Amino acid sequence: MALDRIKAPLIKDAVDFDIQLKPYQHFTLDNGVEVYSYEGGAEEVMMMDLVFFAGNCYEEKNWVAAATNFLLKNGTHQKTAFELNDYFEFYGAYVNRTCYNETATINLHTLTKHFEALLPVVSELVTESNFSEEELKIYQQNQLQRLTLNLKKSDFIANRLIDEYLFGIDHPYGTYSTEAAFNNLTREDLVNFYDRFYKHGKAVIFMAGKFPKNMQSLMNKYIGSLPLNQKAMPSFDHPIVSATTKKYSIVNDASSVQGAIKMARRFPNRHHPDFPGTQVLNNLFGGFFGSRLMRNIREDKGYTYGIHSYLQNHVQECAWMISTDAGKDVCGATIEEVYKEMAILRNELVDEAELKLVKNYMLGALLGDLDGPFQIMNRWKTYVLNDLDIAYFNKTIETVRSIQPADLQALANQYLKADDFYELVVY
Amino acid sequence: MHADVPMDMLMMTWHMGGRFDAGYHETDLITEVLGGGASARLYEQLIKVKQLFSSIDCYHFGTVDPGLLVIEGKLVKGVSMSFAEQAVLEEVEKIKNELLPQKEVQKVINKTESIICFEDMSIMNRAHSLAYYELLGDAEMMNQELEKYQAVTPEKIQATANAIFQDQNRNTLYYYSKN
Repeated sequence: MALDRIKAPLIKDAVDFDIQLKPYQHFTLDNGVEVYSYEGGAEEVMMMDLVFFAGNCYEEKNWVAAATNFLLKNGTHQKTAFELNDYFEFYGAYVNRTCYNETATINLHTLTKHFEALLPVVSELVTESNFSEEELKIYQQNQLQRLTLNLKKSDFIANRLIDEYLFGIDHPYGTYSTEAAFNNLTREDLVNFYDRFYKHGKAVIFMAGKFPKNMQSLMNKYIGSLPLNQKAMPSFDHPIVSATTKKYSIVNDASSVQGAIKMARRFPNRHHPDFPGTQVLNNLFGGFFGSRLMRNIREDKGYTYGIHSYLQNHVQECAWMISTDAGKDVCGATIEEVYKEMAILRNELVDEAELKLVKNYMLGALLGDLDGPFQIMNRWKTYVLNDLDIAYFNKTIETVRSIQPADLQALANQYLKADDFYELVVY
Repeated sequence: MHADVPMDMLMMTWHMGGRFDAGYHETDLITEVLGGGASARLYEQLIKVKQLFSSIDCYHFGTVDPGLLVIEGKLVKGVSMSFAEQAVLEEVEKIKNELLPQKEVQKVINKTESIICFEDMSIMNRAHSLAYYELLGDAEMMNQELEKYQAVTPEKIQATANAIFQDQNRNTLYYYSKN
């Protein structure tokens, strides 16, 4: 259809769009590893996410999961770290790895035409990494230096401590790196973790973009032949142990001019029926640039450049977090204003115009976020790894469209109670 | 400069041409050869082999008018500033004096092709690129960008490196930690 360039396009509210999440395709490799794929897009590019159940909830010693994930790309029995990087980069490909709490990933982004050349070497990372003493030493040295630098930053300290208060230092969500953790890492720790949770681990795969015609047979040849998904995974039980004290003030740098403020409470995971509605409430409260917190504490009071609230998503249990940096002399006043905004949400109904703005913002942001095959697959990946399906997507949209001021007030009365929040300032 | 910062840092800048000057695409690829990713020369030689830096980057500002090429790195504790500077300059000299292997040039061209394709994936980026090239004079240039990189040769890179990496063209900041 040719566009009429003379007439301006009609403005349509985001809430009036019929928003659909396009379905994925699914197949299973010979070794039982499941592959979720979404084919599409205009460019000859693709991505592959190998997700291993190798997050820090499986480690028995602090930081072993993260170090193993990082170093598996730094040398195999056949290739040095330089040769691996040079190989991937010659094809203009990106191979990244990331370690989370439950899972750890090896991610490939490449032009479709180079996939066949790259896949065997990605497969090599799953079975042949050698974790040399030399590479471990360099990693320890650089991580220690990075930690020293980060420990000067109040925001870094605040992020670590608030998670510790919420979940406990022994919980995967509450733990963090220390100098001792880096120093205590041994090659043996990494080799053992790698052997159990990668080489003989459990994996699930997500792919998106334009695929070569023989994609499935390539996947079977190089990944389907690996000894994955053969051994039962260890079950673990990490009880959440929240701190009993709720309010903290810490001086990290006596000369700092700002304080990093975190306020947080525990919150159920995505399976809880209140989750979608609370996302709407959160947006109204502090979830976007026009939120209540932003308008009051940034625009009106000028205490901060920005203040945000968000649901910090985890598989087991989430947290509802408010985060900002404020001038040292106004940190107390900032916290007070946050509580005032909670009280207003508990005591007063939001007016229709403001609610409509938030609804449009949320659905518009969702539309913008589903831009392209990678983003569509990423959303599916979150759903699959959290044991959710299309019903969750549809319910979220339906909730955003239909939620009423009284529903939001009820949620505020249940979840935005000052006494439930941890409160931390790091100067 | 001395300040209350956790570690020493070295920052070197060289003047370079703008978007329309000859040598712009060569300069872009030079920063890739030196600083683009974990197989780049500065990373491999100065972080991995010699272990003088804990992080090091090479980039340019990509400005329409003449701009700057930058090499900046954080020193490993205990390494002397002059020693680290010398090691960076050795890598710079190499690129001036020795023709790059064809394979290394192919690598940075391949990387650039990949960057361009990935950028074009999202509608937002496509709109952004079209607007940017139209601002430069012609939206059609968006489709010619890759060819300009593919026309770069080892000889052109060497000539550009020699034009930029001159001592009188360089500013250097030694940023020392007081601790």
